[in-house]
Amino acid sequence: MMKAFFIMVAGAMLLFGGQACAALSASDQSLFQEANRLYRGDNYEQAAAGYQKLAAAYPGEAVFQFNLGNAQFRLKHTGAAILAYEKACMLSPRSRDIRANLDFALSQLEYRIEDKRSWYVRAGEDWLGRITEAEVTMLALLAGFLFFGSWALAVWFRAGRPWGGLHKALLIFFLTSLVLFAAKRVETHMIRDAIVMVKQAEVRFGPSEGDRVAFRLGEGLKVYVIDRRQDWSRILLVNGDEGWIQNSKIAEVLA
Amino acid sequence: MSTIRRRARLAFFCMAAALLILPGSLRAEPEVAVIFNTRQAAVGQEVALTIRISGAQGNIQAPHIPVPDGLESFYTGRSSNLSFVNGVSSSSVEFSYVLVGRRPGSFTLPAFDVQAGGKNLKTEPVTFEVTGQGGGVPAQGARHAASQPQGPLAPASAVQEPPAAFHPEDDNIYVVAAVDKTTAYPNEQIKLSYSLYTRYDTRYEGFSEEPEMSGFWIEEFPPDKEIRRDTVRVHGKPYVRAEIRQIALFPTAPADYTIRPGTLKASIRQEPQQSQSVFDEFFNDSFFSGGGFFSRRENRLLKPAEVQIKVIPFPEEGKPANFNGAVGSFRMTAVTDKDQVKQNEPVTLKIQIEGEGNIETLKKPGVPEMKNFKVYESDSATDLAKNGFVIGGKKTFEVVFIPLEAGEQFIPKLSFSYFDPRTRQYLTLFTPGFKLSVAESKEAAVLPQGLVSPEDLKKEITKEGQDIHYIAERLDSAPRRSAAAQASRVLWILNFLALLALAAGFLRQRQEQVFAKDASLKRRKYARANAVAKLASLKKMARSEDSKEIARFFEELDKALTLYLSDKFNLSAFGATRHGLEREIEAALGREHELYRDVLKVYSLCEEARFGRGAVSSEHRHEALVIFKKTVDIFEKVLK
Repeated sequence: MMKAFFIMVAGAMLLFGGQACAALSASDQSLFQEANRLYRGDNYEQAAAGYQKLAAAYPGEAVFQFNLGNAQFRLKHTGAAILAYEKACMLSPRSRDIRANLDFALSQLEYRIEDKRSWYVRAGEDWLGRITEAEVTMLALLAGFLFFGSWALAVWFRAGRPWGGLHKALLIFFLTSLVLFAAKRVETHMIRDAIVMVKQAEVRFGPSEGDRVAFRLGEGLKVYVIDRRQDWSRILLVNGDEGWIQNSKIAEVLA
Repeated sequence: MSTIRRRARLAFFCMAAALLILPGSLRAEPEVAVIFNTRQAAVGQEVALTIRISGAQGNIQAPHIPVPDGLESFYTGRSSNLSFVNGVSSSSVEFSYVLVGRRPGSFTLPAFDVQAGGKNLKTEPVTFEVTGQGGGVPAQGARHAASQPQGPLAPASAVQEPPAAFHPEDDNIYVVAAVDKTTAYPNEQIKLSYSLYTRYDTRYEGFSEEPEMSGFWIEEFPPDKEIRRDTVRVHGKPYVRAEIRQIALFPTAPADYTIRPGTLKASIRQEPQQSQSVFDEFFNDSFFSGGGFFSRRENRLLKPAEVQIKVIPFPEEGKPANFNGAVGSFRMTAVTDKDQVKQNEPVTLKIQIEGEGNIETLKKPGVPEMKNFKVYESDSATDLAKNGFVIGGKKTFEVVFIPLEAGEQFIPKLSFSYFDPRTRQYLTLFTPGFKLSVAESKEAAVLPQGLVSPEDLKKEITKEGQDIHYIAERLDSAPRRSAAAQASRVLWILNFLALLALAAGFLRQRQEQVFAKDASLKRRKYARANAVAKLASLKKMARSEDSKEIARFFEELDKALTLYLSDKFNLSAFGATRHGLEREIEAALGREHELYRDVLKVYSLCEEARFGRGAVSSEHRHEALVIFKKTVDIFEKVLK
């Protein structure tokens, strides 16, 4: 019995302990410093290339995306800048610098879309946007451990006794964290944010060039991808309009 | 005296009665007349036909004209006239129609009956000539004859095409919502007009569903005192066209817009009724119909086609830095209330921008930062004007300047830029510069009313520009990131372990429940585990050569074997006798089984060791252990 228990524990440690945190190598650190030096010298093109390389190598680092956004903004690539800021915001949602730059880049857009969603949807999105998926996962794990652990103790040492207030509170905490976790998963993975990357993009009533144009979008506008085909994506706007756009004209934030 | 007064009073009443009765007695008999504006017209040319009924009282319904084949007629309205001249009253009602010849020839409008004042009047037959092809030249003097005091109906315009891609349910009555331009710049005025086309006797009754015009700043033009109407031809058919509503739209941003123009309500009169009421006359005046309130009417909901508008962005070329989205045509003037002041004495600069455009959204010309002045915005006022179908007016801004230093000071020229959509160019207007003579003074600043709070004297810190925040030049510390990742892993493991412990706890609970029902099961299940544990301790004891230890070994072996067998056979551990165990083994394995003999041998060895005081050799001890292990193995299989 004990032997089996230890085997399982060892298995769990191997399973969950395998994802080591990638540390920045010395060469990448010098690449980062070099990109910063290029940025300071107004060489935004090469600085952007450096940040892009680092962002690809370390997809969990918000700093590279943030700096990439700045370099793209200086190059007047508004769509690419907003995409990088959105990615940075997803990784570090409470960073004031990232928020400020994202808001500023959005304020420079020529077009705007009136948000016609109900207030609670907007508030929900805003609230979920201020926490990362990893944080929500950690919260759910903590709540799960507290709940399952206390329940296991009760089963082993207090068998037959009714649930007390602590157990009920832990259950509510666990269920709430699960709902939050599910909402964040839906927000991140099912309603996928995307940014328009071209100066003007035609959105059509169907996924082909033969379909009529429904409306046009300007560079940097955010859309939600609700369906994806090989070359076309079905998108939804915050004003409720929807249509089909070519994949080459947008870039998903969670690529 | 009283008799004279009575007579005088009587004479007065008689005269008054005579005055009242006389006009009635002098009133002429009702008459009807059929009047053409011309007796000859070309094919397709409109001829105005008026049926005038004079001297009739009460409600008069529009007569039904028997139109000969080859002519087409439609009713355009009615008008009434009442005069009182030299004590004689006269009234007349005119019903207007338009006749159009479809082929050349001589046509006679036969005599027909007209109901008026409870009498049946008969018209005279009238003949007129339709000559060769005319091409639809509008008739001169086609008069509108609806509710007074409207002017003459405009001459019928040339042939009009119906709105493209619009198919009304009934092409005898429909509404067209049209804009004067389909492409515009943001904040440029677009006029949206609603025109009702009808061939019926129609009463307009307002909007049952208001139009949806999101994305536009809206200014409604006040309705005309009388609805403007004219006659038009659409696909060769004559219609009365009424301009019922005009709205000025100012788009707020570039985009493609679709205006849903809402739904209008109108009622059309069915066939004229013969019965009349004394109230008919009172209610008989609709916007442009002669139909009475009590005549049978049919309600119609008219939905115009949607209107598409494309709003294009402002051109980037030549866009001034101070352009704030003003569109139209403007003039700017500015004046100061004084040019000689003391230090800290406020001077008010009044800037007035007037012209055509969305006045309400105009923004104050920017005032540059000045070291010699404190500057405060005071007030702004808008005076909106709707001239014709153009929105305009004037907006006045007041800016208060407080000179901080004595001497000659200058209020610089202020600029205001706008975009003129007609020339598609940006234009910039400037106020004149103002020279102020500022006398030295130690007095504190006194602001004009509205700016009296001392807090107002403090200037706000204003951002002079905006830009993105600088890049991050340092990375998050590695230990922090590592700790977060480590914590996540630990939590995963802890969850796994907690779930494992929970599952094990449930299994244990379940097993306890089963054992509670069958106590022998627990003994059988744990018999082997107990025996194996005992065997391990016996092995250690078997190595000893001490006689006491040897005796204890056999004593423990006896106990272990007896306990195991009694657990397996569910016998009382304390009450189990050797004889009883032998019987159970015999029953389970048979007397001839080797193990039966071996078990007896082990018991013999145990007795021998106990009573022979350690005389048993070490080989026998090992043999006894082997037999014990063999016993356990065999009985685990046999009694599974």
